[in-house]
Amino acid sequence: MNIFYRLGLLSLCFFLFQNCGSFEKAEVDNFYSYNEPPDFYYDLKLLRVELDQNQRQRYTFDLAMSYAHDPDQSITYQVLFSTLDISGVCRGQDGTADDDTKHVRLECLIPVEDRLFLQLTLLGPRDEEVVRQYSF
Amino acid sequence: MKYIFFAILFFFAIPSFSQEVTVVSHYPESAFVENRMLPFTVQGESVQSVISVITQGNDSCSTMVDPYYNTIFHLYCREEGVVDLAVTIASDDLFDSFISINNLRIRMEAEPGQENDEEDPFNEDRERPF
Repeated sequence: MNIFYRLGLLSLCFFLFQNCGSFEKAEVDNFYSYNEPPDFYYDLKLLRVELDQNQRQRYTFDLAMSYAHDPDQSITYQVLFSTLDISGVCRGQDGTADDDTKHVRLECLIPVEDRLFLQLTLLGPRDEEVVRQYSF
Repeated sequence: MKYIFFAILFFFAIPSFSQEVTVVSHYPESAFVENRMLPFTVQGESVQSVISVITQGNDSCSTMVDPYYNTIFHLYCREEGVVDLAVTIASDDLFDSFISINNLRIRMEAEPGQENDEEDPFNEDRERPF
């Protein structure tokens, strides 16, 4: 077979199949954490844990929340703190989240070094409810 | 003359639509911090869905349309900075709408909470605290 014919055939194959490789999987940031249509969007962050002179731990949290179906709608929230041994170790916080109050700071001072548990409850205008528990 | 008339109609139609479409943040600006998913709802009578959201100015930012609510999109930035958004919206009108949101400031905070989803503390053989 003519060498030029072979080279031509090789080149043709090269150009025909050069895009047949597997597609690279698109890189998608997986920051979405809801497994079903959420009634609320919320995010709780532990900002810091400070130890005071009496060896008490001060936890500071940052909470953002909203009604998923209508961002203009207010919701009700409740936060409870506990350790494994002491329920209500800190004063809980509740209120109505509306406009600027959809972003709140929470603090809890626990007397001994221990794990802290936090329960967040959100209530919507149509009796929607979500209860989420965290441990730190 | 006919084309001029339609051209005028066209240019009047675009601003009239864009005035009806608003982007509302679910969180106040004080909550715009790094490593937080920030939801936004596109509101308007003729709004059908968010087609795409493009970020500019902060390479650490990502966006996505909510998989359950097609008029909601999310912004997530891993680092502080200023970011611009270009939102393309499908509407009942003839043309898609385009909205730009400029100078969204994402601020820095402490590390996210050490929430532990995998290790459920309430599965321990101890009484639930709540």
